[in-house]
Amino acid sequence: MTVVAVPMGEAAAGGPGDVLAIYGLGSCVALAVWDPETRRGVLCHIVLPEGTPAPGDPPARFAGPAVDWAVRTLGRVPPRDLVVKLAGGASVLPTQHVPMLDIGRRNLDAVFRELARRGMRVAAEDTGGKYGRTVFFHPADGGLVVRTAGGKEQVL
Amino acid sequence: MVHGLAAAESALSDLLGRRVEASLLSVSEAELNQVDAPWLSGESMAVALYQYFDGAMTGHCLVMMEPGAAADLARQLWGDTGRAEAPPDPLQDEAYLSALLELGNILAGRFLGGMADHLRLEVLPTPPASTVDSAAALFNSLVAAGAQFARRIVMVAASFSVEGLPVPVTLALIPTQFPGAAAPGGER
Repeated sequence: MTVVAVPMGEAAAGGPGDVLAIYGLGSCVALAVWDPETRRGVLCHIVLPEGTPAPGDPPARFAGPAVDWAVRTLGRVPPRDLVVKLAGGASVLPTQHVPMLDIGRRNLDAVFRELARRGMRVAAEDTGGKYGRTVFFHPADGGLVVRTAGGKEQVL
Repeated sequence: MVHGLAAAESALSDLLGRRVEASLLSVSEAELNQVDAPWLSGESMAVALYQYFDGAMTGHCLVMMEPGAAADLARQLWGDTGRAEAPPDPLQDEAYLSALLELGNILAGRFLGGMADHLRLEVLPTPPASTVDSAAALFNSLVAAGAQFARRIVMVAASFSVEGLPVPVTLALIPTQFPGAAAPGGER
């Protein structure tokens, strides 16, 4: 098994022999998209809800381009037939006195909106809250392992 | 940076009533997506003290400490050092966390204040808030908040020695508006 770490704003694709990981997911959103037939998957580390990518920007800096990248990369099947799982979008930093800094909630809203525009539904999610997460996506079976900072682990 | 650190050193010494020496280990400026640190690819925990600041210069400031060092420092702040019985876990105790919050207020506030005074700028920090989580999640959340309006980050590694007890501190600063700076390059 090869573990591929996906940094902020980046996205990676993998097959049955890979594990795609995001360490320390806070307000960012992990978008895992899986093709059950080919057992290939994509993991996007989305940073911001919206914006226009600049030249050289990584593919998952913004929600919309990230979903586009995932669909394009797994382009063999219609988007609605892909299995989508989400994690993250937390409010880890205590920024309640500056509401516009609640990026986690805004990120989640944007990802759901962008998925709906393409007819894609979320099969499972572990989102929101006030704690960080680490995720491991297994394209072999589409499992998304979510581990919280306190050590609790679940498989979506 | 040195002005800010000296101000923090002096204020921390006053708060603790002990000799405090601050050392500036490194200062670096980088693109938000170019920061590299060992704890970014792991699940190590950190105590973080966060402050947003406004005024002539606006932005985000995050002070991070390794939990063991933060707990030792909290005991110093609370005066528990040398007690026969083991003190409670400072990071699970409201009073200790409150003491750490005061420390964060001093570190971040005086650090920012020292820099602002040197630059003759008015900086208005919001009340600090503390949290304990994975270092990577805390840092990534700071970067995401800053990335809306900025593209660069200042990373400061410092060490505060309190009566010989070393407390390594990482301070991350994302100015989102700075007089004379180019227009923000985040969300366009």
